[in-house]
Amino acid sequence: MQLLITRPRFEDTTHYIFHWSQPLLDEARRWGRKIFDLDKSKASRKKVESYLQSQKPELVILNGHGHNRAIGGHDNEEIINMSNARILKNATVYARACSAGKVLGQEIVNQGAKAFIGYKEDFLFFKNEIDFKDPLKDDYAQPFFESSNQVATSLLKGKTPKEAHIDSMKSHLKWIEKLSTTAAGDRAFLIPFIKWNACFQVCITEKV
Amino acid sequence: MSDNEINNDIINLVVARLGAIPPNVVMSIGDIEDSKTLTPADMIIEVKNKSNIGKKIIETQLMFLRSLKDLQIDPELYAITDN
Repeated sequence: MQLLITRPRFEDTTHYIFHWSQPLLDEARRWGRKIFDLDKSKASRKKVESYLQSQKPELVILNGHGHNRAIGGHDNEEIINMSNARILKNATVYARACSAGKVLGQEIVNQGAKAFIGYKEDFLFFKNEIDFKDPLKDDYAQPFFESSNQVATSLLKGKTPKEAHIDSMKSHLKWIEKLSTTAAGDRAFLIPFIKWNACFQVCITEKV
Repeated sequence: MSDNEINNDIINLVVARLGAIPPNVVMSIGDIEDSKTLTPADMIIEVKNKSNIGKKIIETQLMFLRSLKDLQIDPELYAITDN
């Protein structure tokens, strides 16, 4: 299995997503997957299209800002939108980007992708300003990124898109249960926001 | 959610809940055209202004509160054994 991942990093939000994608690269290496890591300014439309067309990776993970008809890369350049959705043909796609599951996700599958997992509304998360230099140590961001990373982790292990989606739902639930106890400390306020991401995470698969 | 559906009681409820967020924590929200990093105080302003992001924050809380009524109690778990 080949993996193409985009990890733009040009402001606070993408800085966090960039770092929280590192465990996915580690997981991919553990499973011996070939990785095309389009990080920072390499997350451009030109490079994404080039790699998708020449390497045809089976798994594509797109991190960045988004809206219902596009997913952004470096400096919010639209790297995938309604006009080039067909280049994801035969791929399984996970988009950690706002709202792309509302319209674009279905179009990606209509154009031949095996599956699309993403969000029909904003993907949101919290962060502790003290941990800005080391996002992986941020206890407030951890529930959001561990639960969303679970989609990609399960796909990298070879699970089906539906199984990966369900594994991610279980991870969200695990965090909601954990933060519902006294051990949550001052993190209990995160629960409604974790639930929001879970409620709007969608898995769209091709017709068999 | 329309502005008319958001009355002062709802705003006060959400603002009270947002008051539980530590001041050093910020939220990242918004799409490619309107992405924001908000402090708890910023979130409260968005809610009071009923902005698009404010409405989403309200919806996160209302979705959660509505879900509480659906909490299921597992009868097996809470079964009472009379000896």
